[in-house]
Amino acid sequence: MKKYWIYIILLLLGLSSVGYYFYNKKFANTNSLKADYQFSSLELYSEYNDNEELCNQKYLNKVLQVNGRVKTIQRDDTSVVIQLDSGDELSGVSCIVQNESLGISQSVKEGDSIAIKGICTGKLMDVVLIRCSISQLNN
Amino acid sequence: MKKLFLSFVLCTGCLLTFAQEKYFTQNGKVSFFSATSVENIEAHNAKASSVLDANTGKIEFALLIKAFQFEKALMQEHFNENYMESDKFPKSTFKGTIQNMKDLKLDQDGTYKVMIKGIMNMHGVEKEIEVPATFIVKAGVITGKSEFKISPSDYNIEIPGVVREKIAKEISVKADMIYQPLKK
Repeated sequence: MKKYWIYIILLLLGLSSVGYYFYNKKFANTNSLKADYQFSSLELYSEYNDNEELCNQKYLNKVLQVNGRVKTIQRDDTSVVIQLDSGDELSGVSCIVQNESLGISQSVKEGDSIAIKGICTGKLMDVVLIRCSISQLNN
Repeated sequence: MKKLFLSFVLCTGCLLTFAQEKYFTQNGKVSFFSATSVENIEAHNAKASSVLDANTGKIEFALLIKAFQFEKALMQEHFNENYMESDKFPKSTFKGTIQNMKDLKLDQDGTYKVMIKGIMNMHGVEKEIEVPATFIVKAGVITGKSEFKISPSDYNIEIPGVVREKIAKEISVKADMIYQPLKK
């Protein structure tokens, strides 16, 4: 009878630690995720520009790998945002760099051709990807 | 004399265009904090866009809900799926007017306190709010900052009983924008 209690207590401990683990789980490094879609920043932007609703259904929360030319790069204390050329003068594809990739982002310059993997959050003026990792950089 | 007159007209023309200038940013920061005795929650969005019309005092903000980043993956998932329903309502906007635009001298260095009144659109609900903001003009750079509180219940965001203790009734929102002149 006593043994049962030990099993029950162990089970509860196990369950609560699994719960605790999932509750506190951080994001996976985007670098390790497989891209659901791959295209150029020009293609992604023009597709979004043509039909935002449809693109949201297709791409929201998905891992997109986008290659393109770096139009601007905005660095400050807390974040790095790499904007890729979209073919449109006022807009672009904006990639918010994940913490794990801040180091490599230091060497990115305007005009570089780059491949970035990130999670699609939709379109404001730019199409915005978050938690971006830099998969390839040719400067 | 004619030339002088012409250059005078041209100059006033320039000044007028300057006064009508619009300012914008696409990399504005918006974050929010929920503080309770059980847990502190914060999330950051680095891609808010904003346009300020120096002439009329009209000011607009827009951001993508999904671009809010949390430290914990599960929280971000719950925020998007259960509370903000960001598949259905991907954007949030605020359109307002600076009430005391005459006090805000964008061409003069200084710190200016203003009130902004307008319509917040979030989770498919529109609500009129009035928030204080501070503009700092320094060496031609215009920074706008604001801090205010909103209640999830005002925007039909239901917090289930199990987590009610963990999420504050009023959420503090912080906005931090560095504006650039909008070139035409």
